[in-house]
Amino acid sequence: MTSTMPDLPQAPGLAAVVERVSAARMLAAVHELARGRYAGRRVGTPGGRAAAAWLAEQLRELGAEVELDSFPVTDVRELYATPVLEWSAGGQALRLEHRRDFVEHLATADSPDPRTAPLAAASEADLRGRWVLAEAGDWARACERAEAHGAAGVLTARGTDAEGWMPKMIAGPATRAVPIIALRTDLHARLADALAAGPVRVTASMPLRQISTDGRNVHARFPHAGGAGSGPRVLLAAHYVGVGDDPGMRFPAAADNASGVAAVLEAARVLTADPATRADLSVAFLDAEETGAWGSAHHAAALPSDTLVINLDGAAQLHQAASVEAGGPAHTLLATLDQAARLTGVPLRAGTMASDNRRYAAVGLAAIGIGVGMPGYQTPAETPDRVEADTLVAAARLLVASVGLLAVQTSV
Amino acid sequence: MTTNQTSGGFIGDLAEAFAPPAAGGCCGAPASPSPASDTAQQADAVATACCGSTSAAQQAAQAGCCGQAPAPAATPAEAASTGCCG
Repeated sequence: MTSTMPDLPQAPGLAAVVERVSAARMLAAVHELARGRYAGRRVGTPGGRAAAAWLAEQLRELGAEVELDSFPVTDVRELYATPVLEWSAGGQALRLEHRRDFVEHLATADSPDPRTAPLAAASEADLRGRWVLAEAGDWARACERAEAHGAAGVLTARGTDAEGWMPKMIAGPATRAVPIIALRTDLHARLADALAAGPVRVTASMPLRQISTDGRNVHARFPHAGGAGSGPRVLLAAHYVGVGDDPGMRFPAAADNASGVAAVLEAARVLTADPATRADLSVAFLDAEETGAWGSAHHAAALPSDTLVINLDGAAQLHQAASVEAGGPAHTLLATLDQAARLTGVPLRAGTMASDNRRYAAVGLAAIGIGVGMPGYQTPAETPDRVEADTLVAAARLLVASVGLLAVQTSV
Repeated sequence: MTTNQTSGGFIGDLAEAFAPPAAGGCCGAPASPSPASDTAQQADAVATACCGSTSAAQQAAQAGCCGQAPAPAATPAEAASTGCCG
């Protein structure tokens, strides 16, 4: 990404502006947001609020008018202790490792104290007081039977990512009346084999509670010369929230979405430093995306109907092409993005982006979601060293070029 | 970057971005199936890193990710929208 880009006849000088993005500044921002003091940036935590404050400070340094906007968030799943899972069969005991071998199922009941009980297959007639081994993909039915029978809880199956982690989530379906634990698929199969061979005893806890808290969006508007009110109204958005650290385990959340935040911040820096870019630019660093995009849902309703939204979720590892999803009246915005991608050499393809962009599109705004990769997605392996400098540069250049072209199109 | 592609812009039809194919991953993260070696894992191979089952993965594009309930709707139109991965 070091080549000089050709200029476009309709946007003279834009290529030079685009090339002002700094990989070093973006990497520094990613490393900052991945630090332990932010504790994975979960909504409603001191770490999350510290991240919001840091971002507000960065935006103010760029000359922005900054507002911290709070809103209520419910149904956040909080793991407040390290869960336990072990089984014994045939005179042998096996203690499993949380997030490698098993993980919380998000519909689980809060079950802080380890409970030891015999294991039963879900098809058995009497499940009272026993742990129930659900068939893979059939946890809901097993759960209903377990609840009806007064079972100890349910063990179901789940895959891992390519590195053997079971990613963390903090929102999910309605909570059930029994503890539910998701076991790695090969261990689930092994447990079924052990049960077929003889009695199995399981000891497990799942200290996961449901909390309500407050989210905090960081909104910034840049009233620079020739900016506010004189060009297209453009919002660059990225969520800064993460899923938060586990007890005793760090989740740096470097890719999802410190990388996106860093690219948006850098794009804003470059755009606002260029007086020729006549756009009414705003930035939203959003909270509570990981709990159902509550931050953007809160924000979207307050925006003018002509706002053009570009949301960046992941800018850490460009593999073949960036994913793009469009919603609302975004045809012109999408065509501009395509043009910007040609200018900057960033390949794009249609891909699902189930992120904050959908909240903006849902209220009728032209909204595009862009994803440029998340190595280590929502695991402890989501570290800043895995965020590629070239990908950050590509993402930031794409944003700068898009806004620059929008400004040109509106002014002619 | 892990690509050698130098030409930018959309690959394929631009309009597909309005109804993108389910990528099988959440929030732009590509699906990372388990290194399957047994039947149970193979059955789960189309599940995403975050979604616990095939059906959850298939629903991820249309509904909340991983069985997640959408956030409260602010408008009727929003009810058809989803939360996102989390």
